[in-house]
Amino acid sequence: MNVNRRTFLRGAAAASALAALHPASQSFDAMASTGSMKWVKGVCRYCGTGCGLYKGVMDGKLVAVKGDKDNHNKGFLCLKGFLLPQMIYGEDRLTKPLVRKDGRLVSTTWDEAMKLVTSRFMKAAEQDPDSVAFYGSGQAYTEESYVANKIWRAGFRTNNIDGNPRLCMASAVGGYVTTFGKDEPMGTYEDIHNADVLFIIGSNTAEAHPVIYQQIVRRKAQGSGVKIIVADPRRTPTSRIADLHMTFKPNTDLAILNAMAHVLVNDGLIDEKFIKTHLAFGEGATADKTWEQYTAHLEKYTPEYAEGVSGCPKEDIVTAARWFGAEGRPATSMWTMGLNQRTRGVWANNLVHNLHLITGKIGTPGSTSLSLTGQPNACGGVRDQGGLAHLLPYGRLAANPTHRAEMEKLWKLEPGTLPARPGQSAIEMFRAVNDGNIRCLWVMCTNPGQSLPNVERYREGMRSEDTFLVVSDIYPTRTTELADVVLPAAAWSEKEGVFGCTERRYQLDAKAVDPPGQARPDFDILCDFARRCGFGQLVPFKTPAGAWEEILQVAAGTPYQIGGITRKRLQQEPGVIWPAPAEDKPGARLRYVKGEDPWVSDDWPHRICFYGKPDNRAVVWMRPLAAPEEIPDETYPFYLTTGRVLEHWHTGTMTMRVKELRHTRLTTELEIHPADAERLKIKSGDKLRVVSRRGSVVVPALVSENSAVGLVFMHMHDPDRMCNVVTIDAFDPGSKEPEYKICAVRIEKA
Amino acid sequence: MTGARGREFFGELQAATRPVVVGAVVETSPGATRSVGRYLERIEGVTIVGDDGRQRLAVVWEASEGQVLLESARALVRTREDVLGVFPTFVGDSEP
Repeated sequence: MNVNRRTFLRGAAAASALAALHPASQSFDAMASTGSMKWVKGVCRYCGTGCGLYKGVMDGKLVAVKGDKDNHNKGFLCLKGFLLPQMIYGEDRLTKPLVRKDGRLVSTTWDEAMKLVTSRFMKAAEQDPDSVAFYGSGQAYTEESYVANKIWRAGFRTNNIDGNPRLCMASAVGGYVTTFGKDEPMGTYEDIHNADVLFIIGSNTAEAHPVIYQQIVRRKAQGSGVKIIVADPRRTPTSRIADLHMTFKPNTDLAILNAMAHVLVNDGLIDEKFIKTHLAFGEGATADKTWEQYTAHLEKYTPEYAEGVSGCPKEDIVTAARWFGAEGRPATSMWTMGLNQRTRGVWANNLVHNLHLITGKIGTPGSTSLSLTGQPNACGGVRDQGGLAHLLPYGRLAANPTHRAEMEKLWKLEPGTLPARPGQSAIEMFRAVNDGNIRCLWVMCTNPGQSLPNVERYREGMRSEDTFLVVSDIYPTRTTELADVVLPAAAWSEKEGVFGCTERRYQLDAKAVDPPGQARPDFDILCDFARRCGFGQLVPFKTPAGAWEEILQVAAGTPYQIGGITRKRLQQEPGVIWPAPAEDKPGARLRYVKGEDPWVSDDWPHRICFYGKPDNRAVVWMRPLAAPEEIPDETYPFYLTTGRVLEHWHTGTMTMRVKELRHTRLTTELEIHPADAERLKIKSGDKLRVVSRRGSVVVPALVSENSAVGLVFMHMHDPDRMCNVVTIDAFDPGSKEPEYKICAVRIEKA
Repeated sequence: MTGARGREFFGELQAATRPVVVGAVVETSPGATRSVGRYLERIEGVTIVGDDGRQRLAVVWEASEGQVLLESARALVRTREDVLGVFPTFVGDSEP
């Protein structure tokens, strides 16, 4: 190592750590301004926390990353984040277009590849517009998702556009929309710092969202008597900081949440004025019930009943409810896939919102229900841009003729251009591929060949000679190996675009270095494709910044109110939270709250207005305990749940290119409780075959008390031992999100 | 990799061994900075550059390759109940 360079790096490292310890310190900025390193503003590529960072470029190469201490992450990154520079320099980067010839993928020119893609899609679309589909990603930039949406809906005239957020947060969307009438949370990370009670359910925050976990740790250290409740069937690093860890049989949290509401009502820990003024009550899909009917629904859910079905001690349920409902103590709930990836994921979301609504603990600093996002741009890119089959941009619905007419006007289309026919959600889309109803599929920036549940079923369709599969990505994946055409995409830091994270914060991720070889940004690839298809008028953009200007116009007049989030502002500030109608004012941190949210008029007579509902009332839904799709039986006696580990992200396509991470926990193990292991004579390292009704996978055993008796766990990252060979593809009837978190398996010695 | 269209790109992925320098904050249980600090000082390549006197240590962590550093950080979190997390603030890859 060059001594001068080492000295510089050592000084910069020390200064950055000290600056994070003492936020007022300016030493790191001073240090960073010296030397030959150029720093470029950006956002972390991985989870939905949206950590701000700076990318260090030297001699045209990305060599360093530092956290942005002016952003919400206060200069911190997680273990994955700090190794980001290596992520883009894997030896097997895709640098040339590839087409399949005689069964093999061979190099070709961009022109040849795009000619082929264009001819196949156009030919299929002429016969049936719904035979061409797009499967996008919560990792694509906002401008990329926006352009894809426009090409498919306005160009091909199909609603067959969906994306991987369907697999991770569609139930959160369903929860917000059914309860409040509008998607996206009302709170921000600032609520963590004001909460006296933090209720974490279905989230291993310490591993999946480490920087948010750190903020929780800080709050507990700095607040007075702050209580942390973790509800999770497994013991995880997150439960290490819990004052109360509630364990239970998978899925039975539906009963526990109702039982907590039962205690809140019985103990009088409710806000009667808030209930009378702001709430409606519903069952099924109709909000026509009363408070009395709701409390009658809760009568069955005594703590004793919930203990009986869940195994969670009734004392823990009572304690959790009393901490949550204690007067004058703000409460924030956070959750992620443990609630969302369920056949009753929307219901689980509703039940969390219920706790906040009946106690009135919502819309004040420290009181909110905050769904944590799994991907860096599932919110800003796919949810907000309408990248799911049933949506149009900014909360509009494809099935709503008024909304279609609005978009036709904004996109300068002939009336009736946008299709009313419903599109296919993710699992339905891949079933349509299997059935031959979708013949051309473009997969961008995601890896369904590994990430779909019951994955072998859908790999068959993607692999079929009757399917024309295009994949644009940065590395070979379990999906590119099935493709007819592989397009080399520019990676994070090799292109520019906007990310929107969990807390409604839009941030610009700037380009720092050039892409390798012939790789191109997905934005450029899509615009090129549109022009070749004759849809050039839809994409008159020269750069993503041009598309952003149009996005601002499309969002105008909606409650999103992002008019103040100009490109120039994004270049200068560490992100902006919406609603933000004015460029010179900060965004609203408390949504639906008068004085904060510009959509609530000054003459509204109350503090809060749930304007997403016609009667301005949020809905408390009566959601019963219902069984998951599969429960253990004599043949398949174990619950299997899947999840994440700190060192890897999603299907490992990026983290496995980082040497330090590739050799760390990439191999999926079957985590099994010591009592089960003893009974089955299993020890750590034994090769086990995990068998479900859908398939089997062989993995080493890891005997650990982290799992409960009767519950086993595998992580989702390993491309060679795919847990999704055994997971189930049943999905929530409302959100269409699959039940990754629960299926039944048996275990055999391999 | 398996599958009819597999084995096209995946081989044994190689990556160069590169020294790294990391700045990080180690978050501990309240009051545990002293004992954790003593433990950290015994780890090769770790220099403690500051603390908040209660729950956080600022460290510079150098290693001949990132793998060593990462495994050390992982071991720290997994084996010591009083370590709540290691949060990097900077990483420098010394060989651009």
